[in-house]
Amino acid sequence: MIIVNLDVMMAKRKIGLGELAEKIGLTQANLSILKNNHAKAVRFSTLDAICKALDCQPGDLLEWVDSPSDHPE
Amino acid sequence: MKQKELSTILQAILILCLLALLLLGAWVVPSIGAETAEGVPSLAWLFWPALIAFWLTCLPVVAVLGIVWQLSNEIRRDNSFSTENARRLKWISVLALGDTAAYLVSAVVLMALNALHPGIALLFFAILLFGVAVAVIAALLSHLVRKAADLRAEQELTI
Repeated sequence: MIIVNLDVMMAKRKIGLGELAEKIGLTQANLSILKNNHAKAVRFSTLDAICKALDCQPGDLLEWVDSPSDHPE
Repeated sequence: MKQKELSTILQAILILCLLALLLLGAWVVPSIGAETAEGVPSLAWLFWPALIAFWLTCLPVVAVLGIVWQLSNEIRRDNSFSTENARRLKWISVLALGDTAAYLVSAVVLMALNALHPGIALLFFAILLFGVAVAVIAALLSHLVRKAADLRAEQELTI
């Protein structure tokens, strides 16, 4: 499964949820959904805006980890 | 708001339907039954069983009216596409199918008793067709609403 490491990057860049949301033009609620790994999909435009705001690469934000749900019996 | 108007109109129609059903169950059907019992004394004993059976088949209709009332409330809240509404529509389908089955059984029983007047048979046939049509349409709508609810959830969770 894909996990979102947005909180790690935000901590590195010392930026809060509200400030980032304002910078990229998202609501805090939606950014929070993304940060807490509840999102089902991410638009390229959102990824683009976050990478621009945090000066990072998509790979810094997204990570694949093996999980039991990836191996249905 | 258009959906508020639609919801209000729907609820007004539902109240009329309920009143019509009450009128049918409390006055129209019993008086037709009483007339038939007077005209055909050999079938007079069927009056109460038939009337009670009719009242029992009215219960699912009242339940469906209640469910449609809840659906119209959801329309008012702009929450048409939800899995809860899909479940409600499925219940309407099940209730319609159950009621249709009840009328089919009643028709068979009346036929066995040699009491199925051609006029009543025609009425039963119309009720059966209507019941099956409601069941099929409600099942179809339930499927569509569930699919739409899935799409909506996916869209809302695309950031």
